[in-house]
Amino acid sequence: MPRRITKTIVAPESFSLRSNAYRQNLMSFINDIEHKLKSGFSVKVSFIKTKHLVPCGTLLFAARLVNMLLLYPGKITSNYPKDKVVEQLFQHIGLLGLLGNSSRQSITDDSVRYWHFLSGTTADAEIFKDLFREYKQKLKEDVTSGLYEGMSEAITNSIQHAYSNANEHERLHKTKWWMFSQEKDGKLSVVICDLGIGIPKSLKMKLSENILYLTRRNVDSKLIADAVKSNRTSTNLGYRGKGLPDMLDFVKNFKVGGFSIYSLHGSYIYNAETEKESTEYYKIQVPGTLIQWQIPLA
Amino acid sequence: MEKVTTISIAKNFSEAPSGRYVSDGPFSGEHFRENLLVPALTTSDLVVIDFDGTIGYGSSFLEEAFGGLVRNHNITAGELKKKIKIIDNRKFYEDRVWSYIGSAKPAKEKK
Repeated sequence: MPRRITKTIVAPESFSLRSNAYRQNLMSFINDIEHKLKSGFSVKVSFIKTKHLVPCGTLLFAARLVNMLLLYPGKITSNYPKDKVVEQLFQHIGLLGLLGNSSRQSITDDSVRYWHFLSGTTADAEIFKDLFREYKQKLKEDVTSGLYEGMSEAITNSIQHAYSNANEHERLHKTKWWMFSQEKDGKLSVVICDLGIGIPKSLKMKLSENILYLTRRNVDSKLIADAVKSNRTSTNLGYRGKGLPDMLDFVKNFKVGGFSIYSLHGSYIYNAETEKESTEYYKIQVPGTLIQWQIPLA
Repeated sequence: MEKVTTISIAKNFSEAPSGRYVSDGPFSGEHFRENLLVPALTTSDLVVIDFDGTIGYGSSFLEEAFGGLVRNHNITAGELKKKIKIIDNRKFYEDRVWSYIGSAKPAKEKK
Protein backbone atom coordinates (compact mmCIF):
# COMPACT_ATOMS: atom_id res chain seq x y z
CA MET A 1 0.00 0.00 0.00
CA PRO A 2 1.52 3.37 -1.00
CA ARG A 3 2.51 5.53 1.95
CA ARG A 4 0.39 8.62 2.39
CA ILE A 5 2.42 11.78 1.91
CA THR A 6 2.26 14.35 4.69
CA LYS A 7 2.14 18.03 3.81
CA THR A 8 3.10 20.65 6.36
CA ILE A 9 0.87 23.72 6.50
CA VAL A 10 1.88 26.70 8.60
CA ALA A 11 -0.86 28.35 10.63
CA PRO A 12 -1.12 32.15 10.54
CA GLU A 13 0.11 34.44 13.31
CA SER A 14 -3.41 35.62 14.13
CA PHE A 15 -6.63 33.65 14.30
CA SER A 16 -9.16 36.38 13.70
CA LEU A 17 -12.02 37.27 11.35
CA ARG A 18 -12.08 40.96 12.12
CA SER A 19 -10.32 42.36 9.08
CA ASN A 20 -10.07 41.24 5.48
CA ALA A 21 -6.33 40.57 5.92
CA TYR A 22 -6.69 38.41 9.04
CA ARG A 23 -9.68 36.64 7.57
CA GLN A 24 -7.89 35.95 4.30
CA ASN A 25 -4.92 34.41 6.13
CA LEU A 26 -7.02 32.27 8.43
CA MET A 27 -9.49 31.01 5.84
CA SER A 28 -6.73 30.29 3.31
CA PHE A 29 -4.97 28.24 5.98
CA ILE A 30 -8.10 26.27 6.90
CA ASN A 31 -9.15 25.77 3.28
CA ASP A 32 -5.63 24.63 2.41
CA ILE A 33 -5.84 21.89 5.07
CA GLU A 34 -9.16 20.72 3.67
CA HIS A 35 -7.91 20.82 0.10
CA LYS A 36 -4.84 18.73 0.94
CA LEU A 37 -6.93 16.16 2.79
CA LYS A 38 -9.35 15.89 -0.12
CA SER A 39 -6.39 15.40 -2.43
CA GLY A 40 -5.29 12.37 -0.45
CA PHE A 41 -2.50 13.84 1.64
CA SER A 42 -2.07 13.77 5.40
CA VAL A 43 -1.51 17.15 6.97
CA LYS A 44 0.83 18.32 9.71
CA VAL A 45 -0.09 21.76 11.02
CA SER A 46 2.75 23.94 12.22
CA PHE A 47 1.77 26.48 14.87
CA ILE A 48 5.26 27.94 14.95
CA LYS A 49 4.09 31.42 13.97
CA THR A 50 0.79 31.52 15.88
CA LYS A 51 0.62 34.16 18.59
CA HIS A 52 -2.78 35.85 18.70
CA LEU A 53 -5.95 33.85 19.29
CA VAL A 54 -9.13 35.90 19.03
CA PRO A 55 -12.37 34.07 19.97
CA CYS A 56 -14.10 34.46 16.58
CA GLY A 57 -11.25 33.09 14.46
CA THR A 58 -10.18 30.47 16.96
CA LEU A 59 -13.69 29.08 17.27
CA LEU A 60 -14.11 28.81 13.52
CA PHE A 61 -10.78 27.00 13.26
CA ALA A 62 -11.72 24.63 16.09
CA ALA A 63 -15.10 23.83 14.53
CA ARG A 64 -13.64 23.22 11.06
CA LEU A 65 -10.82 21.14 12.54
CA VAL A 66 -13.22 18.93 14.50
CA ASN A 67 -15.28 18.36 11.36
CA MET A 68 -12.21 17.56 9.26
CA LEU A 69 -10.95 15.11 11.87
CA LEU A 70 -14.31 13.30 11.68
CA LEU A 71 -14.02 13.01 7.93
CA TYR A 72 -10.30 12.22 7.89
CA PRO A 73 -9.50 10.51 11.21
CA GLY A 74 -5.81 10.32 12.02
CA LYS A 75 -4.88 12.38 8.97
CA ILE A 76 -4.22 15.68 10.74
CA THR A 77 -1.43 16.14 13.25
CA SER A 78 0.50 19.13 14.53
CA ASN A 79 3.57 20.27 16.35
CA TYR A 80 3.38 22.06 19.67
CA PRO A 81 2.89 25.81 19.33
CA LYS A 82 6.03 27.86 19.91
CA ASP A 83 4.08 30.42 21.94
CA LYS A 84 3.41 28.97 25.40
CA VAL A 85 0.11 30.81 25.89
CA VAL A 86 -1.13 29.47 22.56
CA GLU A 87 -0.03 25.97 23.62
CA GLN A 88 -1.84 26.35 26.93
CA LEU A 89 -5.02 27.45 25.18
CA PHE A 90 -4.98 24.71 22.56
CA GLN A 91 -4.31 22.20 25.31
CA HIS A 92 -7.02 23.66 27.55
CA ILE A 93 -9.73 23.42 24.89
CA GLY A 94 -8.62 19.97 23.78
CA LEU A 95 -7.33 20.78 20.31
CA LEU A 96 -3.80 19.57 20.94
CA GLY A 97 -5.15 16.24 22.16
CA LEU A 98 -7.30 15.88 19.04
CA LEU A 99 -4.15 16.42 16.99
CA GLY A 100 -2.34 13.62 18.77
CA ASN A 101 -0.27 15.65 21.22
CA SER A 102 -0.12 14.95 24.94
CA SER A 103 -0.68 17.71 27.48
CA ARG A 104 2.56 19.08 28.87
CA GLN A 105 1.69 22.57 30.14
CA SER A 106 0.12 23.68 33.40
CA ILE A 107 -2.74 26.03 32.64
CA THR A 108 -1.50 29.09 34.49
CA ASP A 109 -2.14 32.01 32.17
CA ASP A 110 -5.19 34.04 33.17
CA SER A 111 -6.04 34.67 29.55
CA VAL A 112 -6.37 30.89 29.11
CA ARG A 113 -7.95 29.70 32.35
CA TYR A 114 -11.19 31.54 31.68
CA TRP A 115 -11.76 30.17 28.17
CA HIS A 116 -14.52 27.61 27.85
CA PHE A 117 -15.21 25.44 24.82
CA LEU A 118 -18.49 23.60 24.31
CA SER A 119 -20.35 22.07 21.40
CA GLY A 120 -23.69 20.36 20.77
CA THR A 121 -25.86 18.41 18.38
CA THR A 122 -29.19 19.82 19.62
CA ALA A 123 -30.56 23.02 21.16
CA ASP A 124 -30.23 21.45 24.60
CA ALA A 125 -28.84 24.33 26.67
CA GLU A 126 -28.37 22.27 29.86
CA ILE A 127 -24.75 22.08 28.71
CA PHE A 128 -24.47 25.76 29.65
CA LYS A 129 -25.49 25.26 33.28
CA ASP A 130 -21.99 25.04 34.77
CA LEU A 131 -20.89 28.02 32.72
CA PHE A 132 -23.74 30.14 33.98
CA ARG A 133 -23.14 29.06 37.55
CA GLU A 134 -19.75 30.71 37.11
CA TYR A 135 -21.16 33.78 35.33
CA LYS A 136 -23.78 34.38 38.03
CA GLN A 137 -20.94 35.47 40.32
CA LYS A 138 -19.74 38.02 37.80
CA LEU A 139 -22.85 39.32 36.05
CA LYS A 140 -26.07 40.95 37.22
CA GLU A 141 -29.14 38.73 37.05
CA ASP A 142 -30.77 40.52 34.13
CA VAL A 143 -27.51 40.35 32.18
CA THR A 144 -27.16 36.62 32.87
CA SER A 145 -30.69 35.99 31.69
CA GLY A 146 -30.26 38.18 28.63
CA LEU A 147 -27.04 36.47 27.63
CA TYR A 148 -28.60 33.04 28.14
CA GLU A 149 -31.53 34.02 25.98
CA GLY A 150 -29.21 35.04 23.15
CA MET A 151 -27.15 31.88 23.40
CA SER A 152 -30.28 29.72 23.51
CA GLU A 153 -31.61 31.41 20.40
CA ALA A 154 -28.26 31.10 18.60
CA ILE A 155 -28.08 27.33 19.09
CA THR A 156 -31.78 26.97 18.26
CA ASN A 157 -31.19 28.82 14.98
CA SER A 158 -28.29 26.48 14.22
CA ILE A 159 -30.51 23.46 14.69
CA GLN A 160 -33.50 24.83 12.79
CA HIS A 161 -31.99 26.65 9.84
CA ALA A 162 -28.28 26.06 9.38
CA TYR A 163 -28.39 22.49 8.14
CA SER A 164 -31.60 22.48 6.11
CA ASN A 165 -29.70 20.80 3.26
CA ALA A 166 -28.19 18.06 5.46
CA ASN A 167 -29.21 14.40 5.22
CA GLU A 168 -31.10 12.63 8.00
CA HIS A 169 -28.00 11.09 9.59
CA GLU A 170 -26.19 14.41 9.65
CA ARG A 171 -29.22 16.17 11.10
CA LEU A 172 -29.39 13.68 13.95
CA HIS A 173 -25.76 13.07 14.78
CA LYS A 174 -23.46 15.74 13.49
CA THR A 175 -22.22 18.47 15.81
CA LYS A 176 -24.23 21.52 14.90
CA TRP A 177 -22.72 24.30 16.94
CA TRP A 178 -19.59 25.26 18.86
CA MET A 179 -19.10 27.85 21.58
CA PHE A 180 -16.22 29.72 23.13
CA SER A 181 -16.36 32.07 26.04
CA GLN A 182 -13.45 34.16 27.27
CA GLU A 183 -13.04 36.59 30.15
CA LYS A 184 -10.44 39.25 29.53
CA ASP A 185 -9.85 42.87 30.56
CA GLY A 186 -13.15 43.15 32.38
CA LYS A 187 -15.23 41.84 29.49
CA LEU A 188 -16.88 38.55 28.72
CA SER A 189 -16.77 37.43 25.09
CA VAL A 190 -19.06 34.63 23.98
CA VAL A 191 -18.96 33.26 20.45
CA ILE A 192 -21.25 30.64 18.95
CA CYS A 193 -20.81 29.29 15.44
CA ASP A 194 -22.31 26.73 13.13
CA LEU A 195 -21.00 25.41 9.81
CA GLY A 196 -24.34 25.46 8.04
CA ILE A 197 -25.60 27.31 5.00
CA GLY A 198 -25.34 30.77 6.55
CA ILE A 199 -27.94 33.47 7.26
CA PRO A 200 -27.83 35.04 3.78
CA LYS A 201 -28.37 31.74 1.98
CA SER A 202 -31.05 30.66 4.45
CA LEU A 203 -32.97 33.88 3.78
CA LYS A 204 -32.40 33.76 0.01
CA MET A 205 -33.91 30.27 -0.14
CA LYS A 206 -37.25 31.55 1.10
CA LEU A 207 -37.47 35.07 -0.29
CA SER A 208 -39.22 35.98 -3.50
CA GLU A 209 -37.30 39.18 -4.15
CA ASN A 210 -35.39 40.28 -7.21
CA ILE A 211 -33.01 37.46 -8.08
CA LEU A 212 -30.28 39.76 -9.45
CA TYR A 213 -30.17 41.65 -6.16
CA LEU A 214 -30.01 38.41 -4.25
CA THR A 215 -27.09 36.92 -6.16
CA ARG A 216 -24.64 39.79 -5.54
CA ARG A 217 -22.16 38.64 -2.91
CA ASN A 218 -21.98 41.99 -1.15
CA VAL A 219 -25.64 41.70 -0.35
CA ASP A 220 -24.83 39.14 2.36
CA SER A 221 -24.20 41.96 4.85
CA LYS A 222 -27.51 43.61 4.01
CA LEU A 223 -29.39 40.37 4.55
CA ILE A 224 -27.67 39.82 7.90
CA ALA A 225 -28.48 43.39 8.94
CA ASP A 226 -32.10 42.91 7.87
CA ALA A 227 -32.33 39.74 9.93
CA VAL A 228 -30.91 41.50 13.00
CA LYS A 229 -32.95 44.69 12.80
CA SER A 230 -36.29 43.29 11.80
CA ASN A 231 -38.34 40.15 11.90
CA ARG A 232 -37.07 39.04 8.50
CA THR A 233 -37.00 35.28 8.79
CA SER A 234 -36.51 32.39 6.42
CA THR A 235 -39.84 30.95 7.57
CA ASN A 236 -42.04 33.95 6.61
CA LEU A 237 -44.01 33.19 9.78
CA GLY A 238 -44.89 36.32 11.70
CA TYR A 239 -44.44 34.75 15.11
CA ARG A 240 -40.84 33.76 14.41
CA GLY A 241 -37.60 35.63 13.75
CA LYS A 242 -37.39 37.43 17.08
CA GLY A 243 -34.08 35.90 18.19
CA LEU A 244 -31.53 38.09 16.39
CA PRO A 245 -33.32 41.40 17.09
CA ASP A 246 -33.56 40.42 20.77
CA MET A 247 -29.81 39.70 20.82
CA LEU A 248 -29.08 43.19 19.48
CA ASP A 249 -31.48 44.83 21.94
CA PHE A 250 -29.75 43.06 24.80
CA VAL A 251 -26.30 44.45 23.91
CA LYS A 252 -27.71 47.95 23.39
CA ASN A 253 -28.20 48.10 27.17
CA PHE A 254 -24.43 48.37 27.66
CA LYS A 255 -21.96 51.16 27.06
CA VAL A 256 -19.03 48.86 26.32
CA GLY A 257 -18.57 45.79 24.20
CA GLY A 258 -20.83 44.88 21.32
CA PHE A 259 -22.43 42.33 19.07
CA SER A 260 -21.18 40.87 15.79
CA ILE A 261 -22.46 38.42 13.22
CA TYR A 262 -20.25 36.94 10.50
CA SER A 263 -21.85 34.80 7.81
CA LEU A 264 -20.60 33.91 4.32
CA HIS A 265 -19.30 37.13 2.71
CA GLY A 266 -20.92 39.55 5.12
CA SER A 267 -20.90 40.88 8.63
CA TYR A 268 -22.97 43.07 10.91
CA ILE A 269 -21.22 44.72 13.85
CA TYR A 270 -22.75 46.85 16.60
CA ASN A 271 -20.32 48.81 18.78
CA ALA A 272 -21.90 49.55 22.16
CA GLU A 273 -19.38 52.29 23.02
CA THR A 274 -20.05 54.37 19.94
CA GLU A 275 -23.63 53.08 19.56
CA LYS A 276 -22.87 52.67 15.88
CA GLU A 277 -23.50 49.74 13.60
CA SER A 278 -21.57 48.74 10.52
CA THR A 279 -21.59 46.11 7.84
CA GLU A 280 -18.73 44.82 5.74
CA TYR A 281 -18.21 42.73 2.63
CA TYR A 282 -15.40 40.16 2.65
CA LYS A 283 -13.92 38.69 -0.46
CA ILE A 284 -13.37 35.31 1.21
CA GLN A 285 -16.38 33.75 2.87
CA VAL A 286 -16.70 32.01 6.20
CA PRO A 287 -18.96 28.96 6.15
CA GLY A 288 -22.07 29.06 8.32
CA THR A 289 -22.73 31.74 10.91
CA LEU A 290 -20.71 33.08 13.79
CA ILE A 291 -22.32 35.27 16.47
CA GLN A 292 -20.28 37.11 19.09
CA TRP A 293 -21.31 39.03 22.17
CA GLN A 294 -18.97 41.13 24.24
CA ILE A 295 -20.38 42.42 27.51
CA PRO A 296 -18.87 44.05 30.58
CA LEU A 297 -18.31 42.01 33.70
CA ALA A 298 -19.72 43.43 36.94
CA MET B 1 -63.49 23.21 44.93
CA GLU B 2 -61.17 24.84 42.43
CA LYS B 3 -58.39 22.57 41.26
CA VAL B 4 -55.04 24.33 41.10
CA THR B 5 -51.93 22.88 39.49
CA THR B 6 -48.56 24.49 40.00
CA ILE B 7 -45.75 23.98 37.52
CA SER B 8 -42.25 25.10 38.39
CA ILE B 9 -40.45 25.21 35.08
CA ALA B 10 -37.05 24.91 36.79
CA LYS B 11 -38.04 21.97 39.00
CA ASN B 12 -40.55 20.15 36.83
CA PHE B 13 -38.98 20.70 33.42
CA SER B 14 -35.51 22.23 33.12
CA GLU B 15 -33.33 24.98 34.56
CA ALA B 16 -32.21 25.66 30.99
CA PRO B 17 -35.26 25.43 28.72
CA SER B 18 -34.27 25.99 25.12
CA GLY B 19 -35.52 25.46 21.59
CA ARG B 20 -38.88 25.77 19.91
CA TYR B 21 -39.84 22.34 18.61
CA VAL B 22 -39.37 18.85 19.97
CA SER B 23 -36.95 18.25 17.10
CA ASP B 24 -34.72 21.06 18.42
CA GLY B 25 -33.89 19.36 21.68
CA PRO B 26 -35.21 17.74 24.86
CA PHE B 27 -36.39 20.88 26.67
CA SER B 28 -38.22 22.76 23.95
CA GLY B 29 -41.25 25.03 24.14
CA GLU B 30 -43.35 22.48 22.27
CA HIS B 31 -42.38 19.73 24.68
CA PHE B 32 -43.21 21.91 27.68
CA ARG B 33 -46.54 22.91 26.20
CA GLU B 34 -47.69 19.47 25.12
CA ASN B 35 -46.42 17.46 28.08
CA LEU B 36 -46.91 19.77 31.03
CA LEU B 37 -48.95 22.82 30.17
CA VAL B 38 -51.79 21.37 28.10
CA PRO B 39 -52.45 18.41 30.44
CA ALA B 40 -52.54 20.82 33.39
CA LEU B 41 -54.89 23.22 31.60
CA THR B 42 -57.14 20.33 30.63
CA THR B 43 -57.48 18.96 34.15
CA SER B 44 -57.27 22.09 36.30
CA ASP B 45 -59.27 25.25 36.90
CA LEU B 46 -56.12 27.28 37.49
CA VAL B 47 -52.52 26.62 36.44
CA VAL B 48 -49.84 28.51 38.33
CA ILE B 49 -46.61 28.65 36.34
CA ASP B 50 -43.46 29.54 38.23
CA PHE B 51 -40.80 31.05 35.97
CA ASP B 52 -38.20 31.48 38.71
CA GLY B 53 -35.13 29.30 39.13
CA THR B 54 -34.14 28.91 35.49
CA ILE B 55 -31.12 30.53 33.91
CA GLY B 56 -33.47 32.27 31.47
CA TYR B 57 -35.75 31.70 28.48
CA GLY B 58 -35.21 32.10 24.78
CA SER B 59 -37.91 33.85 22.77
CA SER B 60 -38.44 30.69 20.68
CA PHE B 61 -39.18 28.65 23.80
CA LEU B 62 -41.61 31.19 25.24
CA GLU B 63 -43.42 31.90 22.00
CA GLU B 64 -43.91 28.25 21.15
CA ALA B 65 -44.89 27.22 24.67
CA PHE B 66 -47.49 29.97 25.13
CA GLY B 67 -48.26 31.39 21.70
CA GLY B 68 -48.60 27.79 20.63
CA LEU B 69 -51.56 27.33 23.01
CA VAL B 70 -53.53 29.73 20.83
CA ARG B 71 -52.08 28.56 17.54
CA ASN B 72 -52.23 24.80 18.08
CA HIS B 73 -55.01 24.37 20.63
CA ASN B 74 -57.36 27.22 19.71
CA ILE B 75 -57.47 28.48 23.28
CA THR B 76 -58.19 32.20 23.29
CA ALA B 77 -56.14 34.79 25.13
CA GLY B 78 -59.21 35.57 27.23
CA GLU B 79 -59.57 31.95 28.30
CA LEU B 80 -55.89 31.76 29.18
CA LYS B 81 -56.13 34.95 31.24
CA LYS B 82 -58.64 33.16 33.47
CA LYS B 83 -56.74 29.90 33.70
CA ILE B 84 -53.06 30.90 34.02
CA LYS B 85 -51.30 32.72 36.80
CA ILE B 86 -47.61 33.53 36.36
CA ILE B 87 -45.00 33.79 39.08
CA ASP B 88 -42.05 35.83 37.79
CA ASN B 89 -40.12 37.46 40.61
CA ARG B 90 -37.41 38.62 38.20
CA LYS B 91 -40.13 40.56 36.31
CA PHE B 92 -38.55 39.62 33.00
CA TYR B 93 -41.04 37.25 31.39
CA GLU B 94 -44.67 37.77 32.33
CA ASP B 95 -45.30 40.68 29.99
CA ARG B 96 -43.58 38.88 27.13
CA VAL B 97 -45.62 35.73 27.65
CA TRP B 98 -48.90 37.65 27.50
CA SER B 99 -47.64 39.52 24.47
CA TYR B 100 -46.92 36.25 22.67
CA ILE B 101 -50.34 34.92 23.63
CA GLY B 102 -52.00 38.15 22.48
CA SER B 103 -50.20 38.10 19.12
CA ALA B 104 -50.75 34.43 18.32
CA LYS B 105 -53.41 33.48 15.80
CA PRO B 106 -55.30 30.19 15.83
CA ALA B 107 -54.23 27.85 13.06
CA LYS B 108 -57.82 26.96 12.41
CA GLU B 109 -61.13 28.49 13.43
CA LYS B 110 -63.09 26.98 16.32
CA LYS B 111 -66.22 25.06 15.30
